[in-house]
Amino acid sequence: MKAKKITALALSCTLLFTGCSAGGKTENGKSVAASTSVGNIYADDLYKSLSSGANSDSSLFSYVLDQLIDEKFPATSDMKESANEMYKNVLNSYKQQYSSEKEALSALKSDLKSSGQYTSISDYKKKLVYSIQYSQMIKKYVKAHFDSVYNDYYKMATPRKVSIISISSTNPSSPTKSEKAKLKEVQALLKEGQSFGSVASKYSDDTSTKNADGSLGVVDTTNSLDNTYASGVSAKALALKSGQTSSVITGTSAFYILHCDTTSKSEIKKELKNVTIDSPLLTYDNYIVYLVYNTYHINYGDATIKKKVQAYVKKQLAARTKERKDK
Amino acid sequence: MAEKKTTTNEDLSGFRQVHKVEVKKEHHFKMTKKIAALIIVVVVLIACCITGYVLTKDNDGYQVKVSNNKNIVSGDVTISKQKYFEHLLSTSGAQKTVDTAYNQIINKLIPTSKYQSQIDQLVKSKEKTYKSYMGSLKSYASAMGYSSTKEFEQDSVIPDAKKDLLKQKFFTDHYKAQCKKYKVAYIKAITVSKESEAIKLIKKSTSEKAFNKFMKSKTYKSNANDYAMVTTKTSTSTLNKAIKAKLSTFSNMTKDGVYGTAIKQSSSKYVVVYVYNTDKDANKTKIVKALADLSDTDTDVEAYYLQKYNFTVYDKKLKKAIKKINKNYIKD
Repeated sequence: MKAKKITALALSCTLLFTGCSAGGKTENGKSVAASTSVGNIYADDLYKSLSSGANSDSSLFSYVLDQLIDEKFPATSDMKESANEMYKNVLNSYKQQYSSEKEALSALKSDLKSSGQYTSISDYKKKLVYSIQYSQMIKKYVKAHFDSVYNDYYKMATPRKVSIISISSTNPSSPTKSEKAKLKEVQALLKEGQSFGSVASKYSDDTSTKNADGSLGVVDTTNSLDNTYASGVSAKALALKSGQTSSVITGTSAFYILHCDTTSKSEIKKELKNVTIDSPLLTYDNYIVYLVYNTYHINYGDATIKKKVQAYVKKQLAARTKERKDK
Repeated sequence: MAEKKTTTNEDLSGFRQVHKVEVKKEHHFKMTKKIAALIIVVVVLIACCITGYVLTKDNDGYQVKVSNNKNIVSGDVTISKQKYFEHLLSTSGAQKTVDTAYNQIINKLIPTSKYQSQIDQLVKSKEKTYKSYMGSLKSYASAMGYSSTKEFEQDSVIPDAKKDLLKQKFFTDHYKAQCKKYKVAYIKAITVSKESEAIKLIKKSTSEKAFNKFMKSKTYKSNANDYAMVTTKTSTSTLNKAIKAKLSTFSNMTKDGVYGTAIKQSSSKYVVVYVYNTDKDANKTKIVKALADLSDTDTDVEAYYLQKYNFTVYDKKLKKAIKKINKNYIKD
């Protein structure tokens, strides 16, 4: 009898112990997250306040989207490898600016933290992987809706094929005799009707385009030519008409001449037909993700959640329509 | 002595040997109820420990559970209410728990019915400031992510106003202790290049009027500064380190007047400090307001009330995150 009692007691202790470890505090069947002597803070109260209030619609949408991306485009080892390569490239650019690897890494860490978007290097790498997953999702949509996306892209991003000739100068505001002479020669050849491509391949100092007859490829409103070359290059590239050559643009370390090879819708379409992860069609439209989202089959088991997500997506698509009307 | 001990041991071992040979012991194990129960207890306790260890080891999940867990999203992706809740907890759950607990305390200590006019006054003043930022309150509320000004007022402006009132109450109730803690002092200072010049100024600054006259004079105007209230929370970019190091002395002064020593700064310049508003009782209203206006004192006040009202967090992960925000929010 005594033995049975001891056994029963021990078993109750086990249940109590394991129960406490797993379930946390509950009161009236409700989970309690915290309390003060004024009252309890129930899990349900926290859920209610966390899921409502400022920006709760956009953060809910982002969460659902993230889960959808993880489900449909899970991170693969290839993606992780690509993200690692991207990270290495960023780190290398820092290494060129700092005297030691340690300093470069510390500067990168500090920049990532101050951006407010990343908590650590590993968080940054994780988000790089996510950005690839995200791009895969958009790419799938663009491939499936190529014509409509391209038509919209052509209207919104004013794409054109552009070429560039760069004449290096240590101080463009006071160029040396030889720098001046080289620039003059390029201008004279173009005036004489020599093709822009052939002049670029012979005279351009831009190593990244020289071997491609100066071609920058397709340039649109999302370009970053100002960062790569000099302020004003982007605006000039987008202002040129098909076949037009620009005047000389003076940068901080070179002179630039641009040429618009074509603005033909069909020619550019051909160029962009092969949709890769680097395609401008994936990035030109900030609202494309809402179109993509609507192509998935989503059921909502909660009326509030449904209303919130759908209203948010609708609002964003309305803003997209307005943007196109205003264009 | 040691020899004697050895002999005794030898004797005993001899006895044991003899005893072993001569007496045949029968050690048959008998499973009694007592032994069975004991074994069960031991096994159960071991199981207990293992279960507890497994459940708590590297447990990065939340223990806190939302009611009516169900799938809020299904189809191409499935998301449960609990999963979404845990996502919300991991992004801003710690701060929200602190805010909720603190608001409970605020509502108890600053009941709207009793403080309505003060709340209204503060809300009006805050909304005026927000309006000045973006042209209208609606634009500001929208920029803050609120869908209406009413929602913004209820969720943010009124709670903030009540928070301010609780801070004022705190500094009023604990006035002397807080003045001491933050080393409250009112100072104005003139910086000069030579020690002899500083000493001359100290000698001549026989009254506040005289010091003010020097501050306004052509010679010292560009190097004179009225810091008003300074505390331990005043940044060293505002208040020179060498002056800040003397805060305790300034704060303890009971009579207005010039500090008798020229303070040497690291820049090799000298500072002459005039301390005023030393009568803390006479300046209580002003000092309480100034202390309450310091945003740097927010967390100290919050920690005080949260501890006083036994803020307890039952979820380990949530507790860890709250401790990371401020280790003083929770007692243990």
